[in-house]
Amino acid sequence: MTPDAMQALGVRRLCKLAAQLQTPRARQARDWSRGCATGLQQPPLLAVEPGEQGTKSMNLFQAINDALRLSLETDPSAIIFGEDVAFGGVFRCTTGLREKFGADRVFNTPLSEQGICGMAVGYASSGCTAIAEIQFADYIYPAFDQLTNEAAKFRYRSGGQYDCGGLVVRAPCGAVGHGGHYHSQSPEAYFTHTPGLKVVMVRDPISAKGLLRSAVRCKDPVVFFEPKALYRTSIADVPVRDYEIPLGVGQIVRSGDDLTLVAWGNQVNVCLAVAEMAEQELQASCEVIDLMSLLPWDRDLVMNSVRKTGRAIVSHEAPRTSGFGAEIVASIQEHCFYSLEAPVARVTGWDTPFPLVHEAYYLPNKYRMFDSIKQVLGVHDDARKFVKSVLRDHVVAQL
Amino acid sequence: MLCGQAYDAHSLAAAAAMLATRFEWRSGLRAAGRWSGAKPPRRHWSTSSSTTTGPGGADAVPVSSAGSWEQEAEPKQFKYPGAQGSKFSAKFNVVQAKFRTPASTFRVLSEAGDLVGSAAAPASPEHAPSRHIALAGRETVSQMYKHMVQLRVMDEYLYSAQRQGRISFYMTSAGEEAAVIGTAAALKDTDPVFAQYREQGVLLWRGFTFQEFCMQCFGKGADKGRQMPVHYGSPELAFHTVSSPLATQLPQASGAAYALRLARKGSIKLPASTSGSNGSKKGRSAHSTAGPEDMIVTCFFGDGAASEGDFHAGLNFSATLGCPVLFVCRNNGFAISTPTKEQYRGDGVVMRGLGYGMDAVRVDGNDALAVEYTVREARKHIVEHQVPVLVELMTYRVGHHSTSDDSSQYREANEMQFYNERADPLRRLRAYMQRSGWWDDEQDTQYMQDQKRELLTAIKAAEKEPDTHPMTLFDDVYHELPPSLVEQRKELYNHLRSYPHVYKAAVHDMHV
Repeated sequence: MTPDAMQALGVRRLCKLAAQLQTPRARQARDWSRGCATGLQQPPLLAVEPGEQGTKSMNLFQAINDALRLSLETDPSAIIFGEDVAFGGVFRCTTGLREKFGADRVFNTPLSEQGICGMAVGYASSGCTAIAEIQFADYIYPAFDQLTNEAAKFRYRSGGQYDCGGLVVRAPCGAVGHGGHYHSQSPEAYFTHTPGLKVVMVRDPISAKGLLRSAVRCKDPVVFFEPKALYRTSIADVPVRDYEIPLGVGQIVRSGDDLTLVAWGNQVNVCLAVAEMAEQELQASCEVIDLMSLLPWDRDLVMNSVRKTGRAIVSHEAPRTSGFGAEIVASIQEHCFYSLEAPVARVTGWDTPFPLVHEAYYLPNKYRMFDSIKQVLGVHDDARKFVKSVLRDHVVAQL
Repeated sequence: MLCGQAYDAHSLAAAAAMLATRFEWRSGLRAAGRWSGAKPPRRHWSTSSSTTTGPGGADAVPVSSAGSWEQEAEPKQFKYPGAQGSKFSAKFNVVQAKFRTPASTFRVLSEAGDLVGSAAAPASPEHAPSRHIALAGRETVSQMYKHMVQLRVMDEYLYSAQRQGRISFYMTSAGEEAAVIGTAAALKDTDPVFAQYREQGVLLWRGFTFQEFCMQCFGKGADKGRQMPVHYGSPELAFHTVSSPLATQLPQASGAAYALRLARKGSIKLPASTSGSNGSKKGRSAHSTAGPEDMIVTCFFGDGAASEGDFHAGLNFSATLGCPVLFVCRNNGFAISTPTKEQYRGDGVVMRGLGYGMDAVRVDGNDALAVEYTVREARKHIVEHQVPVLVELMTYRVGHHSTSDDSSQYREANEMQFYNERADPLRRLRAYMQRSGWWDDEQDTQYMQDQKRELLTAIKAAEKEPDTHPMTLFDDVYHELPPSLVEQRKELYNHLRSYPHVYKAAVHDMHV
């Protein structure tokens, strides 16, 4: 097949690549243009060592419960409160904690989100640890003032004299299959626009436990989102020991060369699924990054990956316009412009309220992502397979 | 108003009046030194004695763990979980607001500065000490008056400084000096305070210096120039930094008070920084040490802030969770321009305490003695019972809302004049002191002059202080500077180096 024919198939990038691969100099030039030195070390996958105590199979709510238990055990000032937490919580995250630590430290509050967060700010400002639960992230808005105007600015406005660093607000977020617009939202972007807050969203039990332990110990207020769809469905062998995963650090959960997928929360799992699909059907190797922390976020991790792959898709459940994906895409064009081989794409929820019976049509599922991957790679399925096999033969011949 | 007299068959007046009644009970009839030895009145809001199990009552199937029906002598007795004390009545009983008698306003000083009521009556042997209200003595009264003078002087001069363009903004306490200073005097100096914004008197009482006030107003204070003038804060004096959003401090005060409650019970241990490290800088010895077992949180707000959702949340949380917190409402008649008659329909703010199951008292906020006494008693009650109390201080905002406001646009000058002449808290307390032979005109003139001199010195000194360094604007956003802010800081630095003529600050001493 001639280059012209390949171009006709819409695979300009692969043509270019094939051309460059022919000489070592060209390869060097390519590496340089991507802004990373040849032989750049990849960040290792973040693995949590189980340690002597080994692991235990837990789902997400059990891992959260485990982290909460450890927090109450190790921090005598820590308390947990919110609506219905006393009997274990509607998602069972606080099961058994009241029995173990007493009604003073694990208790129900009246039904008022602004009251819960306001109380948490005041309690934390006394130098203590407040772990507040908002029953659904959809109901966090009455507390918006307390979180964005109060918690976020508590240290700043006092010139560092006061702070409410011991504050964590946990909130179940995201799609669940039957939640409609008031039980499915992902409001993380509202909070990422607020200096002073830290924002986290978790993807599985292992990361959740470590991130929650970090959030509780963190000296800044943290808004901690837990995708409710994963509470029972996401199961893993979670280390029994007390461990932390640092805030502000992302994780490469799957390595790849052709394309970078950036996500957080349950969308990471969608990315992993589509990466597998792309591997199988397109022989495309996707690198999947879980940001975990959205504020502050691990920009270097994403940029290094995009410089390597030259292509990126950012995906989130929340609506597209002013979603946090916009921030990432803007940063990519700012810092990786000369490494990009294609426009950076976003695969997100639509700019509508979260629907009920049409949830399947709203979600950025793996098929929508797959479609986007094909566009970003600029290749038709069959052509991609074909060209890739040609290329592989070609490289082997060179060696 | 005495117990019983106010209980009217129709309405909730009885229960509503209970607040005022109970307070008078304790001060007048029962118990010196105790908030209420009195049992709550036996009568219910409805005077009907007929009870019934209600429709389907006897046969009703109890639901879940809803109530205490099982514990009743007659297990078939049916009660709804939301109002266990309520009896069924065949009488159609409308909870009518309009027949309710407004709660009385407690005062011990007349406008002319004379003692009134039981405060005026000498303690008689047969009633002593219960008939007599133990008012603050000479030392405390003198201190209160002096601080009220200081506050007025400071307000006058800093207000003028704003008018001269030397500071950007100011808010005076004019007319409300007794409300704030009287409260501060009755608290322990280590009690954490969550203020609204017009309570600089508390800081003044605790020893915040003129210099510190001026530094904050000039943007050079401990807040590093981050907040508008009057947004003071001092961990050393247990005074939480003021924030502009209204009423946010109420649920926060509940949270801080809950920490005190747990510490008192031994459930948690508080860090040392919770209360002021030294209490007062003036070292009032009686106030200098306090543990959580003897501390309360005090939270100020206004009649306008009481309309915010956070007001409801704060009171409801503190009542249900048993938080030792004193809510102090300065009802000064205005929220900027909005008069109280457009702010609420009920009987002020004091009555709302009842809705939360919280004791509440209404006081003449321009009567420093009454305020001090009430807060002292309330404080005692809170410490002993670990419950919140609401105090409504009736007062009048003589000044504009702030320097950005012109109140002549929405109120008559003579109205202001009327309150200024009739209700001025300084004149009232001074008259009382002079009548007691504790103070005279000469002392007064001298003291005021001294304060003015000190304040002018402080203003000049603050003006001369160097400006807060612009590169500090990235500090304190987080505990540690995240990479994004390190980068942005550098970006600003480079920009300042390129355009030095545009900005006031020099870049040569900046470190990045």
